[in-house]
Amino acid sequence: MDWSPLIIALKTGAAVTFLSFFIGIWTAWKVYGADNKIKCFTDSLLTLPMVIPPTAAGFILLLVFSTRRPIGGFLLDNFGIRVVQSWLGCVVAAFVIAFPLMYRNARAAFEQVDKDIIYAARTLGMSEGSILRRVVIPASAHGLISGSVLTFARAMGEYGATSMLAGNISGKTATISQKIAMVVQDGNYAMAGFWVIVVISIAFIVITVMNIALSKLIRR
Amino acid sequence: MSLEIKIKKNYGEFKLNIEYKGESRRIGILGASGSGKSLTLKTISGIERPDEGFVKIDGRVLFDSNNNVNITPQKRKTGYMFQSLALFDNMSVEQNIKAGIGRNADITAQEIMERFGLSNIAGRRPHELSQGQKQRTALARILASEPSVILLDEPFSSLDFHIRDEMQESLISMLENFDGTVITVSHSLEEIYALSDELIVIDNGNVCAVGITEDIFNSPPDSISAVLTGCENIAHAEYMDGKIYIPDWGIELSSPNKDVSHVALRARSFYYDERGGMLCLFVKEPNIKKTPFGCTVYFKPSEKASEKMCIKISSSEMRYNGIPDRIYVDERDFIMLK
Repeated sequence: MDWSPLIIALKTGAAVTFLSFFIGIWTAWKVYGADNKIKCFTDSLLTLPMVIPPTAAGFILLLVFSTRRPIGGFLLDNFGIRVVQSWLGCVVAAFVIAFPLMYRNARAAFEQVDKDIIYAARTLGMSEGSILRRVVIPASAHGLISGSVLTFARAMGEYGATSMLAGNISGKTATISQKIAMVVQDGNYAMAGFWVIVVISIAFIVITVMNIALSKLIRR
Repeated sequence: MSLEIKIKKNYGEFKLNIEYKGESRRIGILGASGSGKSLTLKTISGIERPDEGFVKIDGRVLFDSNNNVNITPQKRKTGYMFQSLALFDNMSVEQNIKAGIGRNADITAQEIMERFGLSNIAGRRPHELSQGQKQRTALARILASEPSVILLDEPFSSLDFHIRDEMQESLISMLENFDGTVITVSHSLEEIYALSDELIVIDNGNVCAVGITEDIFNSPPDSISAVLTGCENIAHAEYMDGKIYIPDWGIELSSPNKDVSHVALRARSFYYDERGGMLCLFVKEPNIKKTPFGCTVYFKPSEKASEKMCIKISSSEMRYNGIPDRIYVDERDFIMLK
């Protein structure tokens, strides 16, 4: 039994969640503090990957990172970094699709934080970084946890953009969702069913753990 | 200690336009809800940025639109006490206080907690504290940041009536040793009277009166200040030949004061018996409203009156005198308003 689709999917999910958590919080904090016009514009831009078809996002990523094009070529020639047809491609594709979930959850959570608490922290002399770390993040823990879990689930199951950018290379870029598509094409419904059960089980466990963690946090 | 502000900020239909210069250490800002009191505090602390003007405290320029000065709230040294107290729920009392202590501070959290009687609850979180403990923590945290000005934004309005007096007393005693300026914003007369020596009356974003608190309460200069300082009876007045006519109440007063647009009378400024030269008012068509320790009587003071005025009678006065059919008013108790 080849467990590589599970391992690749989990690794991708973990890497994307890790990146999205920090970048999402930082971006949400910057947008939170920006004036309304900038807020509207950046909000639309950062939400876009979530609403456009994943294959469209994958196509754009392919154009950007193709080794025959300037950016992809530059990365390969100067740093030896290859995004297309690689695990890094899985991460980049899943990050683009799943990042908006983290960003939007973080921003919504920040908007819920009592503004007086942030103002009080400022007048007490706390730096903006310290306010984010010590006041805003703890006060918006619920939203950040649920954002992270949704990001993980979305990243782990991403298919459209991943198949365009990273391809479907067994043992290298084939995640569970890609494996399912592949075995169904081969007519192997039993194997497809197995992977469907695996992916549903993981999603169920992750969401249940999140619910338990959140209810404990609320009771605290 | 000195405070000098001249700020303008446009919020669409509402325009804030505040100007004040003074040296009092205890300043009160009185105004109705939505009059711009809290916004004024927020511009002083740097939370809100005015469109134009300047803010100076003890000669230190905190904001000056002409010279592009806008010190961040972090560096203004203004301690802001919010109505909600804004304690950090995820931190203990001690951590909350430490959050206010700067890197080069001379004071330690232990010293402050001892001074405020918080040492025995240092490890508790805000949700485990009583209202009084929360307030002490909030003030201790502010003083830990060594501010030169403390801004109190409706400090007691969210409290239950029965603990309000106690908390007011405790706040006043905690602030006794604070050398800097304290600016209190409130729509509560008692709060503002207790916490300020100088009063700024604000209406609809504009300053309408500035003066010694007692003076403004005793003789408000205009009808808005009269209403805000709790004057129950206000009526339009006209000067003619050495007399002031009050058509709404159908009465006249002898006064040489020509510059009068309204007169006011507090609901307790009356007597049951005549004492030399007093004005007699009839209690016609009385309506009685029960109050916790007495009643308020609304009545027409003369045959010609078109509007009612009111007097407040305590339960003990009621017991001895009942509702009178006439009352006597010293003409000097009428407040002449411009």
